[in-house]
Amino acid sequence: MRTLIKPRNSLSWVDWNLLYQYRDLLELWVKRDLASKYRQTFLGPLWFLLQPLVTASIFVIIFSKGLKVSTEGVPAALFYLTGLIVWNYVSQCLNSTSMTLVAHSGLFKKVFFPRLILPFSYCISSLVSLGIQSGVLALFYVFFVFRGADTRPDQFIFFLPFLVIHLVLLSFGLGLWISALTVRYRDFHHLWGLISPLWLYATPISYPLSAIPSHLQWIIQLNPLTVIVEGFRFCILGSGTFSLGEWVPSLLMSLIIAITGVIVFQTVERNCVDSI
Amino acid sequence: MLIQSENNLRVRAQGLSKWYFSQKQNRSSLHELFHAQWNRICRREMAQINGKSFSGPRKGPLEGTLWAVKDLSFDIQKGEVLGLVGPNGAGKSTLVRLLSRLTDPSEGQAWVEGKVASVLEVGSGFHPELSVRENALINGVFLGMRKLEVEERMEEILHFSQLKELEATPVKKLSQGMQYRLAVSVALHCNSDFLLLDEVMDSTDRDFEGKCLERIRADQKKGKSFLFVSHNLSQIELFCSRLLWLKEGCLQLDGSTEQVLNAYLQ
Repeated sequence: MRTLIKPRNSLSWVDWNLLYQYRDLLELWVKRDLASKYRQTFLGPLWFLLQPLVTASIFVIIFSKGLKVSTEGVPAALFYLTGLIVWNYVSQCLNSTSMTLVAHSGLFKKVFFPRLILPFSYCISSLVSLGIQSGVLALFYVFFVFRGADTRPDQFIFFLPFLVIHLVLLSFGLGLWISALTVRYRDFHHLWGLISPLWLYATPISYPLSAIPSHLQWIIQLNPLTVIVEGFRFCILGSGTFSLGEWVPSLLMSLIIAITGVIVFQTVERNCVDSI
Repeated sequence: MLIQSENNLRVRAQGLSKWYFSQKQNRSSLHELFHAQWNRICRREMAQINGKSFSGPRKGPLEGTLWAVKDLSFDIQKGEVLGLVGPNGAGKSTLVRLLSRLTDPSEGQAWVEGKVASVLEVGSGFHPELSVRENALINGVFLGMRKLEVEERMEEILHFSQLKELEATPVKKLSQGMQYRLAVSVALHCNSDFLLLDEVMDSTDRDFEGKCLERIRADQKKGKSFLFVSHNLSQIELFCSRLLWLKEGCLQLDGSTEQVLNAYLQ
């Protein structure tokens, strides 16, 4: 096996062999990330739960009780919680992946490994908190159904894994874009801090898509997260609308974001050591 | 004759060069970016007027760029321990970075036969809260080993580093010297064919140095090659059979340890 070292001027794609060779690193980094995140905290992994629960309670008080926003007949807590665990995944992923190249510059300057492993491992470790939060959602679900709420999953529920893959793809792609751009201009990190709360409210999380006047719905649907959130609620709670005709274009859009994200990241990563 | 000699080669570098933008050229803000682009356009037009072809930044350095290393050509044999000497800023670390694939060269190329591993700093990738054993595992995987391969060598690594009794201790509780020993031990037990060590052995004690030397000599017989950077010249003399002397990014002298050290110390 001969390793060639030479200038590369074109765009880079993934070196699958190298990635395969370093596959154990992915597992170790995910474990390390999970272990280090809640070490020296009093509540530990309970933070995974507290965060969406508190936000959902606030949403119930403000949007449901205060502003009387419709939740399409679904108990408000379930409605908001479902949207929020999706949102939490995106925001957690982007917060950690977007700073990958800058935050780990010390490591990148000293150790060679396929850089793509780090952002990918963050997307995986965030899946763990998504899983735990889904467990809480399930508990609430059972509780509300026992109290007589007329909510049940749609037969589309088998479709949920595909929505999760879609969600990972979108977060991964956006994270790569932001982290690659942040290497050159730190502005993008601040920009993300500005955009993220706006994005939360531009996505039908605190309100259903049906609450938007129909001639304005296309604007909200340009947002790739809309279809995912609506899809999650449709599958789990049986509310709202969801069709393959809406999903496929949104999936393609996420796929394009992910592929271009990988190319940009791989191209910037080659020489980022020189500028960070 | 030529083919035979290439079979014995571990590394061949041909015209390896790397240049950086100096601080001023590193266009970090929008204003500077526009300014630099404007200058480029103006200069291109000037060059066209003068009938010369314009060489953009990819082709070669403009003014305000610094050569970190320039036109380095050398070979490293299988089983050879090559040392790098030179004052600060001579390009030693840049060369190590290029060969470790941490950054691309600007010009020229090199190839390495087999697996490359490098230690540029003690403790990169160490997590202070994790134990000696866990960190050795992560470190080994960073050096390109499979988890299983590190685990197979774990006992040997722990004994070699004399940290067997402390295997469950968090790394943050180790002394600097112990962390050095751990990092070097993992690197020396790595299954690479070419190992680069950049100033990581500078402050090891005599005892451990002797053990490392023994280990390196044994690996040399198996065809493993080493690139060794140190400011500790007595260590260089002990470890290396050949030296490259770098000066301001250029190759000043390539020869036997004795020959280069004599010239270097004058």
